Amino acid sequence: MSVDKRKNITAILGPKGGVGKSTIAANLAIALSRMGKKVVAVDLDLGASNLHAIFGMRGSPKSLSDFIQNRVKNLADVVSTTSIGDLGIICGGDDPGIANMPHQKKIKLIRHLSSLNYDIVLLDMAPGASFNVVDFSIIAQQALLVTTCEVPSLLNVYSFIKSAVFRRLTFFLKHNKWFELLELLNQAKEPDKHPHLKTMEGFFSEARKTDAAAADSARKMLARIKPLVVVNRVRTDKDARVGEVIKNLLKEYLSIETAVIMTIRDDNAVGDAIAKLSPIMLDAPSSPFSQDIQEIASRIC
Amino acid sequence: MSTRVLVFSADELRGKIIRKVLDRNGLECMFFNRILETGDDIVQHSPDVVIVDTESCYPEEINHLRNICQTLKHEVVIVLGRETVIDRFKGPRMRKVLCLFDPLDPELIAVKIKETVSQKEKKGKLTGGDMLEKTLKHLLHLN
Ligand SMILES: Nc1ncnc2c1ncn2[C@@H]1O[C@H](COP(=O)(O)OP(=O)(O)OP(=O)(O)O)[C@@H](O)[C@H]1O
Ligand SMILES: [Mg+2]
Repeated sequence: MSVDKRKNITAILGPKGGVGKSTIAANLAIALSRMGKKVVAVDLDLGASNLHAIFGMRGSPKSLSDFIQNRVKNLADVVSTTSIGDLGIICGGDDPGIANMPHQKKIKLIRHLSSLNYDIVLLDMAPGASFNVVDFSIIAQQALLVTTCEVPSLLNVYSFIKSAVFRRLTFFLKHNKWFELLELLNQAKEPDKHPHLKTMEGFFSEARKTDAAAADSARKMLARIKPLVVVNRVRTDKDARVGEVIKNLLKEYLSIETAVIMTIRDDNAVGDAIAKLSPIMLDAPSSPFSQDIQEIASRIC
Repeated sequence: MSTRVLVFSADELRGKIIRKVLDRNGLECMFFNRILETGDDIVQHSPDVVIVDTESCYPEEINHLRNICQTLKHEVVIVLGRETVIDRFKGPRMRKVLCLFDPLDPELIAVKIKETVSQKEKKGKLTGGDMLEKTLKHLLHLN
């Protein structure tokens, strides 16, 4: 995948709460930093921030709130240093969640995130699938969607990717002023009324009847969406195959061919490390969790 | 769903022979000879089977292929080449890697792919992957 190295924003998402986003974000940041990357981890779970705790920090005198509330001009000024290589962290602070962040503030934050001078900017996102969370997944060069093997989390991940696909297509069609296709896309949101638009394939073949070139370029745009699904807390081989089920659904209904599935094992060492206020990547570098994180790090950098 | 195979070989001729035979066996096959970009190609095409041919590779390319093989968990991985080189693809993190020694036998590769993929499918069915898919489709109103 060609990625602009200067603006390599990687968002760690998981619409269901408690699936392991922050634990993965913190330890992935450490793994990437140990591979020689200059990394900053950003806690975007405003209002319920805990990324600093996973790094073993008690808090920080400066936080994202200072930037959002205009107490600090540049986002770069709220980066705290850590004792781990070139790894910085932006702590979350105590603002209300980003679900409620006004549009202007969101745009400003995105602009500053994109211009941070780091190889990798890792965003630890809040749970949920509000427009703002989806938008951060869209601006990110890479999106890691974290799920457990349980049905509610899998449902959320599928729905999240579907929202991101519809939102991205909506922007794309609006931008190109292809309003007839936009209308068709809106119909596809109600598959019970329009069963022939139940799959993206159905949408594209219907769209081609109206404007073949526009439909093909929308399809091309969709082909660029490459979600990386991380199945966390895997205990058995059966759990590990859950990713395949999601991959099949994404292919069959959303025409996403390129989803990549990775797994992270369930590991008691995670809890032990948190109790010691030490990230597991440092506390137990050869634990199953740390090994799996290392693999993901090699894959995404 | 057809089985997608990516073949990586620095040796253009060997790569093309393998692709031809696999195509003839009904396997959807792509061939790449830029060994150091293997990782990107795998991410981009998410294949079911990855074939890495170590013949004609430079040592750094072999190291690269070794690292890649260690990270692949869901794909069937088949390594081709001389016995002395292929020995380096064995070890605890390579348990799932299948090694086929030279001389090159593309028909045997096709047989092995079909065997392994059908075993994998059977395993998936037995463990209720289908059931989960059904449940999700039902709850998402997809059927
Ligand atoms: N692979 C794992 N093995 C064992 N425990 C894990 C694993 N991954 C995460 N956990 C545990 O799961 C809990 C939730 O993790 P975490 O806070 O990272 O989730 P989250 O998705 O960020 O939650 P939220 O949505 O509330 O932000 C923590 O107690 C963490 O220690
Ligand atoms: Mg969290």
